[in-house]
Amino acid sequence: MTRLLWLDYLASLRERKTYVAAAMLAYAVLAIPLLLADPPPHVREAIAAWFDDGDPFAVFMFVWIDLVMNKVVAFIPVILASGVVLRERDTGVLALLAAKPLTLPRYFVVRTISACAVMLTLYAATQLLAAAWYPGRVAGFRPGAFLAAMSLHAFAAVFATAFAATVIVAVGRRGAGTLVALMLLGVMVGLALVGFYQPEWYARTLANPLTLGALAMRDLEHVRASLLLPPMLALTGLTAVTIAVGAWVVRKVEA
Amino acid sequence: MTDTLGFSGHLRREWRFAPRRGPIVMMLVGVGCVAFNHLVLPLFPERAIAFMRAGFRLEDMAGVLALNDLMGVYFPTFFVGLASSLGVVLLAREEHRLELLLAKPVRTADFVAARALPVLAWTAAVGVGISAAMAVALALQGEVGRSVSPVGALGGGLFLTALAVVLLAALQIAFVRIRDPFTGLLVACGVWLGTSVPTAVLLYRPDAFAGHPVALHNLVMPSLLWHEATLGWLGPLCLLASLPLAVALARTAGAWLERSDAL
Repeated sequence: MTRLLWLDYLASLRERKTYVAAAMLAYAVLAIPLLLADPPPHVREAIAAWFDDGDPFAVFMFVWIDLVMNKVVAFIPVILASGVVLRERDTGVLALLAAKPLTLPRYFVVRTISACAVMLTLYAATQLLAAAWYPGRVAGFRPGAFLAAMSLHAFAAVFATAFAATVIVAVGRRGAGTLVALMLLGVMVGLALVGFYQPEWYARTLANPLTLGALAMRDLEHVRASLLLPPMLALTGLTAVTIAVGAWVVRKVEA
Repeated sequence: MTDTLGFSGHLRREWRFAPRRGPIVMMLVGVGCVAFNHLVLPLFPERAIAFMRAGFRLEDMAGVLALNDLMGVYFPTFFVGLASSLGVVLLAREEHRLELLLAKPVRTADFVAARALPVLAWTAAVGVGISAAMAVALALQGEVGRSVSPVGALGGGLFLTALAVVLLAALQIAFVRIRDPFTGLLVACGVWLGTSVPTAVLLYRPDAFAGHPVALHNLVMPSLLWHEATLGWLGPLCLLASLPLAVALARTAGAWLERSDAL
């Protein structure tokens, strides 16, 4: 299984869609300094109030998470996961796979983990490129705090990929499943930072996995393990449960 | 059996097989988004509302609600149309059904247009339904302000619906040459995000539009609300015009597919 996972990961990395996604992410990295060169006063004041932090780095992190990486997490995981098992069924390959010594739930787990690994690779490469490119180009940029905060958000990206794979298999049709996954992740992304805008709702928004991924925004001055580890563990658990649910649901898929 | 079917005859056949459940569900989702906006956004602190008002140059709460509603029109409408339009050529090709479908006694341009048109018509229906819900919600909440009338908001929603229909029809031209549905999805997502970039620029770099009023008033989404009186008639007109334009684009895609030797 490990060998299959590795080969599937390598094959997915070499696909054209991965290159297109990488190009889009590189564009985002290059465009953000232009977007943040001169934020208007109302943006600076609002973000300073929401995050209790008047540092320009907080403005950057808000834009990076809300405008860039949350949108990435809504779209790219769905595309990476949209073919898991159902593409094999629709192209007539599933009957062939059924003759192999690998059950369908295990095959789903392999393909989903592979998609998560591709997402994580794209995600990590983007953050590293940003950490190398932004010092001196983005006001107040702190590479250490940035990488620490985004390491938590990466768990949300991995969760989103597992979630999309499970939802699409549960729906059972690629087009409709992709749409449902996109809508559900869109809602999660849309509500991810609502607890910061309306503090009364903060506790309830913690039920949203994408809010958990953005919790480093609570204290960017002191991004520390005690702030990052609990949501990381929660997201890891949610991802494992989501993949397990997908492996259970996938049994209904017929060749 | 060997006679070539007319376009309308083939369209009638394809219409029967167009996905319906997805668009109806998405229309309900969009209406739910509008209801959510009108029930929840007024509960946000004044600072968050003021941020959107100042950032998008809106006069009152009606403008803030209408802008969020417009996103509730554009996102579901485009993506329900995208999910359905993948089946026109891309998925059929990947599943090795395209050769069989093209063996039908119908010209390729007619074939693609006949498969795309029902999808685009349902896409338009989703946009019209959500836009109407948006207008009703604004009419019911008169106390939120007068800067955007229900008719103007409806026009803005119909304009975005027309934009979604034309973009999806134009994407068919790309889809007849793209072999991988994942790449197709990614390109389509990129196109959708591309149309939203000017609005993000308005929020974070309004100075980029200084001295470029034409770009400002034609590219950013809030401009649909700044000119709501014009959109009251321009939106429906654009939606009407979008359907024949979409047919022409789908036929262009079909003509290109006909010249392609790689199925």
